[in-house]
Amino acid sequence: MQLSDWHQKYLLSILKKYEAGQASPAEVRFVEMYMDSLDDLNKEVHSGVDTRELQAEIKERLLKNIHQPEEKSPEIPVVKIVQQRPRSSRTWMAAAAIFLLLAGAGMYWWMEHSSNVVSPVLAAKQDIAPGSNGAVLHLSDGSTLELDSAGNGTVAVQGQVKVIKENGMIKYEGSAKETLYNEVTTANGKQWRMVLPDGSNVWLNAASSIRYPLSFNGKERVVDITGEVYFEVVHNDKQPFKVRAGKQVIEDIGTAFNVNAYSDEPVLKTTLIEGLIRINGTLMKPGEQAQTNAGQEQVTVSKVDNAADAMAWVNGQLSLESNNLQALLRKIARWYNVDIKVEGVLPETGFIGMIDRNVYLSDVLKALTVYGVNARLENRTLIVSAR
Amino acid sequence: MSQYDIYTDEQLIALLNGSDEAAFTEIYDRYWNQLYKSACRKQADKEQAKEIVHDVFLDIWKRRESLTISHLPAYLEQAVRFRLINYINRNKVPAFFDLFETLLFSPYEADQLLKQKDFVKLLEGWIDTLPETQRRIFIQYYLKELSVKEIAVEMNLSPKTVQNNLSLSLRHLRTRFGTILTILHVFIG
Repeated sequence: MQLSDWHQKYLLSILKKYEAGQASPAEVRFVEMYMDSLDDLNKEVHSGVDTRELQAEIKERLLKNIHQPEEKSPEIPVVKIVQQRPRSSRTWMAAAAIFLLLAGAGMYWWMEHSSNVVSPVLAAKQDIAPGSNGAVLHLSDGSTLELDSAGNGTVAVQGQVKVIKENGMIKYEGSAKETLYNEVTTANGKQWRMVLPDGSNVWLNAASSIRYPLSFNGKERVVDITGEVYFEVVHNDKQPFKVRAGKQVIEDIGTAFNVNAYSDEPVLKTTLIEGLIRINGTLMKPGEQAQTNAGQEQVTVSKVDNAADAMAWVNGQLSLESNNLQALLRKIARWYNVDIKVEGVLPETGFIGMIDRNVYLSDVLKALTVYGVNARLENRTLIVSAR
Repeated sequence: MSQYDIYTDEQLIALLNGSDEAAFTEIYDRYWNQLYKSACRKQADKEQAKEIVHDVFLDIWKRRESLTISHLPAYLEQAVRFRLINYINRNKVPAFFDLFETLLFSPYEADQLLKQKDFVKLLEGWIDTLPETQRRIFIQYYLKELSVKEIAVEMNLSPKTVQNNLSLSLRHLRTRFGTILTILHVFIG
């Protein structure tokens, strides 16, 4: 069952953080409570075997290992396997491993309960704030207007059409006879929400754009986008809504969907949250994702485990769910407006988890260390290596 | 086994600091069964429980010279938990998740299993771990019983966003909660 799968993954991601000493206080509390509940639930458990025999069996193995350590020693929890490192640093890692083994649970407790944990990530004593609301509005006459969260009221008038800023977003009032276009663009580290002239809601992620007419007068409502945009379209049978993104043309049939069309991503992805859409002629159902390789029209539609993940950013969350570290790093680069430099070979591991999008970069990096990825900041360049 | 059984835990730890093997075996004899049971209670199977007990004691021996332990049983319980989590993270204890599944998918059943107070606490604890937006939507919708529209206005989100968030991640909770939510309501207040 997919939902259950998601929750199991969620609990597992908390346990991973717990083990690495990086769980939040709420997460630590939950893990402890959960264990207490299991103790309580299974109070009556019997070993069901001859305890004397068991006692002797474990003791025998233990004493053997004490006198002559096992070839394959038990895995040391705190230390991750490191791939392809220069010999000197491997030696250092071995020393660190021994130290951590010696320190063991004591060290763990210190990490958990000290309020001033010095993360390796923070060693550089730099941090970067998360992105914020803001965009640039390009008016039909070629002039531009900076948009931010502050202030309400009419910000521009184009013919009969007023552009109104309200609660950190813009909307349109009035209609234009001639076809005039506006465009809203976001830089790295910016996001923006707006209502299109037809009442449809759109959210622009960082480094994205949307171009649309001031009035949708034709047979169809057509908008062009780049980057990542989430749509909640007001359906109109008589005037279908179309999104053009790279080589994908998305036709709405009453819908909420997310389009990820960054030019630096190898695959363009449209995820349908609700309703019905058609992409390059192919019909999609909710929970499905359409992928096209950059520059190609061929669409592959498949069911995704967690469609909500695609719109996590709309809900102020940063999804760490990814099978691909590089893609995750590109996402971080856009939201925190940093450059990424990779050193050595990174672990090929899957990522799960969700964190708030309004946290500082160091918190995101802490979450990544759980997966054996280390990162340090030099000015606005994030240098990433295996831990 | 020897006269060591008259020593207190504190005395045994002091001896262990000096690498006294007999003190080590006395600690083992005194606590192994408690640890074994502790691992089994948390859904480790017999083989896993054996491994965990072995690993915890081996670890103690390896760190014998630097150990400072104020309360041995509590220390050992924590060590079992830590080792168990390490096992789970290597995909070895699937049964560990059963209670979580029950908690979220059959709250009524979980309510039967646990003392009501503990069950509510556990559920509350889980809610606390959710990302901010999801938690706020959850509390407002399920506990304060606000409508999707009201939440949208309060959180400056579109109704559909609120709806999607509820329906995609928490959909299964709504129909099954009923009275339990009323209880929660009292606790979260």
